[in-house]
Amino acid sequence: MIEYKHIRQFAWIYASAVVLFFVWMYWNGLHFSAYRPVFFNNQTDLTGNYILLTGIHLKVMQEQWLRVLLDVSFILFPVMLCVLVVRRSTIAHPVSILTAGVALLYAWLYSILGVISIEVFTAFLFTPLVFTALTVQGFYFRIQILRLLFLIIFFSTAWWKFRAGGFFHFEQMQAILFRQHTAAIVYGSNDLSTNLYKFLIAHPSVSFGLYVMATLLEASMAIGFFTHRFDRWLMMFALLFIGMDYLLMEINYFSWIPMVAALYFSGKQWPHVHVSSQIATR
Amino acid sequence: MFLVQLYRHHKVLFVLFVGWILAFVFLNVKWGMVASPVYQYGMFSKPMSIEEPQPAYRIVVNGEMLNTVHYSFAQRDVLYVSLDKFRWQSEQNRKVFQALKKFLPTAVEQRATYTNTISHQQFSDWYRERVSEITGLRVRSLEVYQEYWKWHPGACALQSSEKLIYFD
Repeated sequence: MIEYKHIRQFAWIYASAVVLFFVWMYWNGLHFSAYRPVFFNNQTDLTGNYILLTGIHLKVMQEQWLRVLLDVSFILFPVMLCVLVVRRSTIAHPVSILTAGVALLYAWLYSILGVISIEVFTAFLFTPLVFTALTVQGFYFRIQILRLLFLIIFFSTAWWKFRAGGFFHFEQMQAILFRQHTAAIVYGSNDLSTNLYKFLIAHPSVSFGLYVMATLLEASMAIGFFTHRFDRWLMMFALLFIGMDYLLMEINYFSWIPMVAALYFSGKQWPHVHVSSQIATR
Repeated sequence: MFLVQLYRHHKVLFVLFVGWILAFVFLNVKWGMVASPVYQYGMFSKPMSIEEPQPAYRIVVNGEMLNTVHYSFAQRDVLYVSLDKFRWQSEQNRKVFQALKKFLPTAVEQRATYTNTISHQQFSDWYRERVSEITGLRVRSLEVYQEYWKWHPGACALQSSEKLIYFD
C-alpha cells in the first residue's frame, strides 16, 4: 500500500537524477555557463516561440550572470523541492509548479542554444508536478498519470517507427549507426566501441535485429495501458533500452529514470475500497 | 476505470491529463510542429539508406587531425553538432519563422528575435575556445573540413570535402 515514505523515496530519486544529470553536463562542459552559446537554432515549438518573444535567448547569449542563474536554478529547485517534500512542507505545492516551469524554460533554451534535444529533458518537466499532491491519495493519482505519460511517450516511439517506415527497412540500423558515428568510423582509431559499430554496420541482420528488438520493447509499453501486472518487466525493458541507447547510440536518456521509477511506485496500491468510499462521500 | 477515478478525485488534473493526451495525439498524427510540453518522439524512424553518404567534420588543430575518439561523446557533440548547427542556423531559423509566424503576434514580424546576428569571425573565435577547452591544446591554427563519406566495409569512401571558410 502506498505511504508517505514512498513520496519521499520518489522525491530522492527525482532530485538525484537531476543532480547526476547536471554533474554529467558539468563534467563535459555542456551547462550554460561553460558552453556560453553564441547562436541559436530555432525549433518548430509553438510554446517555445512564445518564450522567444521575450528575447530571453538573446540575453542568455550576452549575459554570463543569466547563464549561471539558469544553471543554478535548474539544479537548486529540484533539490529544494525534494527537501520540502521530505519535510512535508505545504510550500512544496507551489515550488513543484515553479520547478516544472524552470525545467521547461531551461530545456527549451538549452535545446535551441546547446547540443541536447528537448526530449532528453522530458522527465524533468513532468516529474516535479507529482509533488503538487498534498496527500498520499493525491500522490497516488499523480504517479499513475506520470506512469501513463511515460507509457504513451515510449509507445509512440514504436508507433513512429511503424508509421514512418523505419521498422520495415532492413538497412535502417546500419544507416543509423553509420550516420551517428561517421566521424569515429572514418577518422577514429580502432577502439572497442568503434569496432563494435563497424561490426554492426557490416552485419545488417544483427543490427536490424537490434532495431526490431528496440521497437518491440517500445511497443510492449502498450501492455501497461491495460494492466499493472507486468510493470516490473516494463521497467526492465525501459532500463535496457536506455542502457543500449547510451552504449550504441551515445545518447544519454538516463534523465528519464524518474519516469521509469513511476512504474515501480505506481504499483503500490491505494486501497480501492478506501478510494471509492472517499469519492462516494465527497 | 482510472480516468473516472481521476475525474472524481481532481477535475482540473483530469482536464490537464486528458488535454495533454489529446494534444499529443493531434500533434503526433498531424506530423508537424510541437508545443511544449507536448513533443514528437519520432527520431530515427524515417527509412535511411546505407548507400547514402553521411557528413562528418575533419578537424585539424595545429596541423594535426584531431582524433575525437579520445573525448567523451558529449564533448564530441560539442565539437561536431555545434559546427552542424551553425552551418544550418540561418536557414533553419528562417524556415521555423515562416512556419510559425501565422501563430505569432504579427507585430513581431520585423523583430530580430528570431534571427542570429553572429558573424563568421565570432563563431570561429567561440569554436576555437571550445576546441581548446576540450583538447587542452593551445590552438595556433584550426582548419575544419566538411566531408561526405560512403560506407564500405574495410575502408569508407570519401565522396566530397569542403573546407569551412570561417576558420581561415
